[in-house]
Amino acid sequence: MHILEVTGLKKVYTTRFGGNRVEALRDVRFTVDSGEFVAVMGESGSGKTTLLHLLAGLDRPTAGRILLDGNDLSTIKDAALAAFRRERLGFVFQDFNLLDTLTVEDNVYLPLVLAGTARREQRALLEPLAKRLGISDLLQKYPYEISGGQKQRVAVARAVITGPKLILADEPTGALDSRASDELLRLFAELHAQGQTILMVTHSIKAASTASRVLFIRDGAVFHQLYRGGDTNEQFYQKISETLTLLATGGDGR
Amino acid sequence: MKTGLYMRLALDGMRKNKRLYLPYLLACTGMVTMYYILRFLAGCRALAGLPGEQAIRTTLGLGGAILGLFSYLFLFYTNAFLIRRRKKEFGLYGMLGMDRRSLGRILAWETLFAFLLSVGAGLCVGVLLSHLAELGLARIAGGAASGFLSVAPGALRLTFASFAVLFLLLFLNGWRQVRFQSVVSLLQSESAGEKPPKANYLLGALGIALLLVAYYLAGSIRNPLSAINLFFVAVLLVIAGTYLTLISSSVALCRLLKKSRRYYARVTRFVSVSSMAWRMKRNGAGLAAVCILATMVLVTVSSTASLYFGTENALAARFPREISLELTLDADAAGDEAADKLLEETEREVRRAGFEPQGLSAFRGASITGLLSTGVVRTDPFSVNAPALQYDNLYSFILLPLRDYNAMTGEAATLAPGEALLCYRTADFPNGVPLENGRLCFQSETGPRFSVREQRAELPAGLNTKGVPVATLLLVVPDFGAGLQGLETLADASGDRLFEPGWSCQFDIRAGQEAQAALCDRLAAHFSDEAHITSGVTACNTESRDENRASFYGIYGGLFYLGVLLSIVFLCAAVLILYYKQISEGYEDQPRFAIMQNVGMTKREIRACINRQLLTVFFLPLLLATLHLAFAFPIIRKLLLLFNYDNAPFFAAVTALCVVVFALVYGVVYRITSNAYYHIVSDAKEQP
Repeated sequence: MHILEVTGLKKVYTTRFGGNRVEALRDVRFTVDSGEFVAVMGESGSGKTTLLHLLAGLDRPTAGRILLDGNDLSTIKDAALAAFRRERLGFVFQDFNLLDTLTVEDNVYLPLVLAGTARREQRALLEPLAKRLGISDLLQKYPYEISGGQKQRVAVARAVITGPKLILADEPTGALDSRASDELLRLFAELHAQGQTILMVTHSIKAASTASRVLFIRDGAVFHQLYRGGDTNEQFYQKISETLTLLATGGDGR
Repeated sequence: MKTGLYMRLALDGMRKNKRLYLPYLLACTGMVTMYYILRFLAGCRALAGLPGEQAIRTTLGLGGAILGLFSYLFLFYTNAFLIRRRKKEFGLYGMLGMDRRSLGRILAWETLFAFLLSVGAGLCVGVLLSHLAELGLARIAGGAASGFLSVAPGALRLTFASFAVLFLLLFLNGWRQVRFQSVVSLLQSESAGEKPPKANYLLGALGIALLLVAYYLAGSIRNPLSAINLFFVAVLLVIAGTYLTLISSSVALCRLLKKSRRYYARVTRFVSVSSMAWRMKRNGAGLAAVCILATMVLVTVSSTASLYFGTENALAARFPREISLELTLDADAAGDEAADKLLEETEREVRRAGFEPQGLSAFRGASITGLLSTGVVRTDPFSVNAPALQYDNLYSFILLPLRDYNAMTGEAATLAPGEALLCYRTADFPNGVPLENGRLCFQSETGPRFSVREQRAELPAGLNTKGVPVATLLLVVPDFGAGLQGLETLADASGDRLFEPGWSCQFDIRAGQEAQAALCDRLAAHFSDEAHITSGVTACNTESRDENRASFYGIYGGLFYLGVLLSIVFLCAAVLILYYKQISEGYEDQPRFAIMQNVGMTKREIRACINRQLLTVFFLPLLLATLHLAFAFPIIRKLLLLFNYDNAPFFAAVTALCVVVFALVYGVVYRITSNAYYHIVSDAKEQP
């Protein structure tokens, strides 16, 4: 079953005074099935982040259609979009985006509080999750008191606590050292193994090699894709790396 | 070369943070302007000749001192936002290898620029506005304004010096923080929340204790003349108490709210409480500042408005009848027969002028002011003019013949020669007048004495003591002439008699201002002729109510104008704080609301959160200010007595009206600043 279906997606930015038109996405089409772990790769400026913004409903496309869990994002009103985002999507950002003003615990609770979940239920959801993510001891601390890896685990906890259909991750390892990155990727793999659908934008080959499928974007369109099949992480890493070299040397898939 | 670099870095930092720096500079400029205006008005020429000029100047001076103190608190508060912001940058410079001395230099340049800009602009605006204010005052109160764009060098110097010291302290405070923090903690300082102050409960208790002492002081003041100094003490205590109470109570409140079960139930509460807790100390300080300013606005407006709108009341109190005639007599011309003759003459003159005197009352009396201590009244100039004069023991004594007392009260009291009746107000002597063996002596224990047969806790209604700033005691003697004997020898430094017997008479003629004035002139001419002078009428003084109406309105209008002016100054300061608070917190909160939007918060929820947060911030100070005002009520009432004003219910009504009007103005400011905050916060780019 498709959880995400993107067809003919196009996004054109116009500079402030109407001068230059920048085509960030030209024609993107792909689907994500339930339970997949998809990595989106591409060079800087290839439109990865724009794509993520459109998928999250944070920005409106110029043309094209996004079907998320059977709902067309373009038909949902702004106010409903927030609720939609809250219920179906979880976010993990490169710079964590935790709120300084809230304790770790409250940061994780935030989406539940927004959704108006009962207090007892909130607690019941947090406890096993905190244990699984290894943040039980951090709950009463504030974000500025914990390390980057810990912050990212808190962000993951916040993303998954509502049981979203899809987790959108934007360079989640970008601000982490290699140990913390490994840990986070293991966590993603674990979530994936439990059936969580994840879409991750990254330019780290290492991060991408943990996914079950990798999409390559170039010049605003999906240029190529790789399935893991039965490969180990190392073999998959090799394949991705080769594809990227091909991309960089201008091999043409078109 | 190197100096140039630091200067450039400082200017660069200011430019880059201009969203925070501009409101800060605006706030500094505003405080400088207001401080200068107050200092200028306290010494301005337009006040000269206003009755109570000295009291007004003292009050303006005190107002200036309070505003000065206040600007220290306020600018330290606003500066805290800036420092937080700049610390991150300084941390970065530190990381790039700049040593602490160099960071200090950048900070010094920055402070210097801020000082020059705000004091320069503030003084320019201040000079302009103060001139306008003085012109207005001169027009209303009829005084003379200074010439074209007068500048008060004293006020300029004082303003410059106070703010120079203030900015030096601000620099030292910033330097202390940059100097003693590690580079890493500097870098992180913007995201770190405030820690609750140690011994929070102790501070809270201290704050409440200070408030209680201040309230007690305000309630216990008996004498309005000594009240001015105590009032200042009470104001200082209230400021300190408000700060401590609000800071510690906002910390306690945040803790309590976070523990409550409903904290997680509503997103508005969740977000607003957590961000209030995050900057709880700054929040408390901001609330306290607004609260104090609100109190000052309410006190000044309500008291001066009462005076102005109660002018008719004050006029009626000061002049119970339309015409009042006062004659000063020699002691031997003050007998019963002479008094009867004076009354007859007066009635005859009034009738000749074509009027029928109505409600006529007349009595003889002699008054003196002296210090009372257990039965002895010291009237010698040395005691009364002593520099360390105790106003609390100062009384006005009126000697009244028994016959006139009986006529006034309708009683038939009798007294033996040498005896006396002593009348007082219960408010002045709750336990009666303390005497020694029932005797009241003047000058010394061996001086002229009266044996007090009875004390009465009531002054006769016909006796007009309103407008006398000290408590009045009435000494009723059986024979006026005999009572005056011996007292006549009391003299002041230049040998003038202190105890002057007089005869006074009041009545209505039910005629306009011109007729009243004409009658006054006629009576004055009649009693000032040669025959009267030789028969012992040494001076004659006439007053009419309607002739005084214009000057009363002039005086009270002038005071009201000053009060409104002061309130505008205080209100501007309050608006500045609110605005600054909203703007600076808005910029701090902007990324947070962006994150919350990403997580799935709707714009409507954001709006609700903001409203919730602002509601607490806005109405807590208003409530506390009203409480302060309620406790200041008695003391202000007594201060108003200095201006012939004694109408508590009317004052209460005006005060209540002022609170309502202020609440409305405050509500408008609330809407405007909350919109400013909302625009800043929701302007956040929707970026993950």
